[in-house]
Amino acid sequence: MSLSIESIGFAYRGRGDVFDGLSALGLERGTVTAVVGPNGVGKSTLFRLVAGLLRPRAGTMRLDGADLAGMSSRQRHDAIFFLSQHVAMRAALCVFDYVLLARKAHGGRATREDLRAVEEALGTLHIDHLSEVPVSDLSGGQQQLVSVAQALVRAPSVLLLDEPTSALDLRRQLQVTNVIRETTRRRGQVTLVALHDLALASRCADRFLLIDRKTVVADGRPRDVLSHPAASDVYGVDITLEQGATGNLLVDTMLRAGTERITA
Amino acid sequence: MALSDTPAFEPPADTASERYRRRVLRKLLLAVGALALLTLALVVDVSVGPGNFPLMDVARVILEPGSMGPKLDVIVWDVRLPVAVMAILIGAMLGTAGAQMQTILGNPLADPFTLGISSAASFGAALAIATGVSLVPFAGAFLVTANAFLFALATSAILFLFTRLRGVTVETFVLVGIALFFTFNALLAFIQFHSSETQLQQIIFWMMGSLSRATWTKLGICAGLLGVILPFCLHRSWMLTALTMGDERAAALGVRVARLRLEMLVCISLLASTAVAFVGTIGFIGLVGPHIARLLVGEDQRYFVPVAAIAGGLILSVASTLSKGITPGIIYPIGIITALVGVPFFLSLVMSIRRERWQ
Repeated sequence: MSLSIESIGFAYRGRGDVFDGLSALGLERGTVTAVVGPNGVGKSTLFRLVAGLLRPRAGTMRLDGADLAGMSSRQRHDAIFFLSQHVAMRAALCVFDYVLLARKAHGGRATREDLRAVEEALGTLHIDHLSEVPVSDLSGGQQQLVSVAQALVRAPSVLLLDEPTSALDLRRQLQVTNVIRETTRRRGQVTLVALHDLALASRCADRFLLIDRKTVVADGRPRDVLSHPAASDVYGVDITLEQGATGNLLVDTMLRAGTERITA
Repeated sequence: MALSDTPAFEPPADTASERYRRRVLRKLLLAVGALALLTLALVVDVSVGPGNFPLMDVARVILEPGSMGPKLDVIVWDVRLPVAVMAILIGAMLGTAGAQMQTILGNPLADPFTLGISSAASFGAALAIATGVSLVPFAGAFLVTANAFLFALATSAILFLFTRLRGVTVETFVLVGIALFFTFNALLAFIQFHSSETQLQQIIFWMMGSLSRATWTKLGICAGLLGVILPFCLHRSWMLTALTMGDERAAALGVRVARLRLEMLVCISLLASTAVAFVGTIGFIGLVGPHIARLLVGEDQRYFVPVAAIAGGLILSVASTLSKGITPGIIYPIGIITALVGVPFFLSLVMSIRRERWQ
């Protein structure tokens, strides 16, 4: 039982291909896959394609064997939850109502179960003390935690998280990635997460998809992908891996000679 | 779902769910209180005029027609009540339209007339007054009203067609609306420039807005429109609230953003076009009604839309009373009073109410 992305081709209107034959097969339930690669390679675009916000010009995506393109809009949005990159929250809504919204966007009365789910998500992320605070009064990091809480109150088959820790401090980064791992395992979800911090990604993910040049250039266990020569080439840095005292993978990087200045 | 380095989650005694329920109850009570205030404003509006009547007598005539004699019956039911009810209905229509315009454009400075709808209506009315030219043949006594309505509706139709184009963003949509606003204003000025003194006077008076054009038929149309559109907006309330998260987030939750925006634009156009056609240009309410609602109940559309409608009705009702009460024997154009009275009231509200009110 898994998500499979097969030979996807996509281009934004009037622009060149973003993907040409991109495949990621057998993204198993209960596992976290980190989608990594330099800026602008299409990590967010890939998430939008899976979420159904964009339509590929070629290829198929299957969830447990069923073609995503054949699902109704409602079925697809019930099955897949996409948390886009952090956006500023300006609405006159308090945290509790904002998180509740993620469960009630299709309408209906807020049930006891809905309220309990919101409460639990806020408690899990230790932001229950903020439940009455207007979202516009929160710091960037707190707003990001509220967004993650929105992902927790849903129980989708596929969870797509685009940079969910970019505004968080070190402790919060680790807490959130722990919650993502545990939730994925417990609920049997397929989770794809885009992260730039490769060390954090390697702690969080069971599998890496390294994207570059319109396709997946390396796919496998974090250590295998990061030690692959393609990883250093894609980022233009020398990557050295070490085993930390706690057993975690330490990722040491150094700019290659001649690439110290930003030229583009 | 416990964090590995923190204790398992234990809900506190006073749970967030309980606080949520209390917040909902507070908002409902506030809406009921505002409705009671609106009813009082209606009775006060009816009792004030060239001859003032006691509130209790007026209330009795409204509840039991014929109970206070034929004279008061005629004054209340045939003269004052249509105007007073019209004030409330038009205010509610403009408040609702403003709330939805601010929601779909994601801009608290928008109002129903942002996209040139009112300018188009004014141009249509001016065209009918100055030249007798109308989009509706044989409109007779309804020439000005019909022309104003159709020009407003035609402008909305242009905007609908524009939304169907690929790649149109909210920003470009607003810019096209602003372009239409200036185009119709220029055309209006052109007509005014070529009008006779009498025609010019008629055009200006129409544009100032007047509730005296109220009839029971018009009231029926307005009530019917509100009776359909308000429940429709409430049915879409979660989706509309989701729009406050931004288009992509709302779409990711399954909201069909483009379709929702189009549906609301149809509602706004019908409400604003009808309001302008029946009573002329009354600005301010569509902007301020939603702001008052936002201050009181926040942007949860389940409460935001009804309270914006009630706030709009209340402002216009109070303005209607004051337009008759400032100088005995003179009824000032409602458009003037609305802004003159509404602005200080609104500013005092902004300064005194803290955001905690809706939390």
